[in-house]
Amino acid sequence: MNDETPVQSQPTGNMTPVDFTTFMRNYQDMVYSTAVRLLGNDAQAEDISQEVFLKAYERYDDLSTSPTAGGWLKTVTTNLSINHLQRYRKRWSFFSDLIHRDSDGEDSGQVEFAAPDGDFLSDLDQDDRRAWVERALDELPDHQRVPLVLYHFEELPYDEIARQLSVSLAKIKTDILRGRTALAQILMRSGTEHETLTAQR
Amino acid sequence: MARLTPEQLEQKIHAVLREQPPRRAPMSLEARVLGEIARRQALPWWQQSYAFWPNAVKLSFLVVATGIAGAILIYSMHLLGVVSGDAVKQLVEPVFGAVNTLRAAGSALLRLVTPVIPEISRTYIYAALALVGGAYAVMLGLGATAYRLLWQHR
Repeated sequence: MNDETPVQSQPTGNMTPVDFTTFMRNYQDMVYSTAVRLLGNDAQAEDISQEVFLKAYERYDDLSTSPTAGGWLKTVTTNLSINHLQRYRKRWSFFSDLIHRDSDGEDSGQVEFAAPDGDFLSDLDQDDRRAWVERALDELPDHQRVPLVLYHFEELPYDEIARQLSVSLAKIKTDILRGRTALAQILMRSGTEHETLTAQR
Repeated sequence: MARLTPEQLEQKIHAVLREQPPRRAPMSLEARVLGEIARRQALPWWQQSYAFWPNAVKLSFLVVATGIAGAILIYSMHLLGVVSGDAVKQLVEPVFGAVNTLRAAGSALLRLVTPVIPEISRTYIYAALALVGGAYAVMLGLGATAYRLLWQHR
């Protein structure tokens, strides 16, 4: 991961665009990945990444020598992405509630897998498999993808995700479970041999 | 038909997602960020964020803001009856004292200079003022030019 790449140490107070460019190159993939997985939109992710690095530039004197620069960038990216989603895709809770009510009783949890051993996309080579997973994530609705990404990529606990998204803990757990099921269903489309697996609730 | 518990599904999804490498940032991102930084640097300080204000301005702003906030606080407390008029007067007196001292110093300086002023031609006074103003403008221009030529594009 990019955030594990050591930042080149720069003397504080001696900031130049070249120093900052190196810093940005070290972290831009990590920042962009976080944003694009949360937002599910390339153009918006690029906008958010730009905003993150502009904020980083404002406090570059501190960040250039900080061992926690990667964590700071990730937190800012996550917060800006969530703010963006909440600002421009309002009624998050409303739609999430609506979907929950509409789909109550429809969620059987049945997932068909491509491989008999239950592995997703096992018949694809690594590059295709990765591209397929990214596409599958993009296909998820916001209210499932965002908590799923926060849980599995950012490794936030359920209660922290609920707090960040300002929704109830129960709803977060349901959204994540349904997100996993939906993701599994999307992923299994690439398989050739189908085996039906049931996610018991 | 095999059955997966939610825990098993979580583990499988987690394994799949954690295998994903970071997505490549678009090539345009770096140019966009550096371009925006250059654009912002070209703005005068009063159009930039507080972090980029000159130190003297930051300090003045803090002093003035603190003064205004303090005045509002004291006045509000006075209106609410928490602080009596005398207490406010006691609090404010040192400030007025400092202002009065400054005013007295200014008056003394004026008294010293006043006898000399009639002897100085108005033309000289205007010329001196123009010289000071011009020197200030030249220094500002030189500083901005030097900054753009020598520093901004480094």
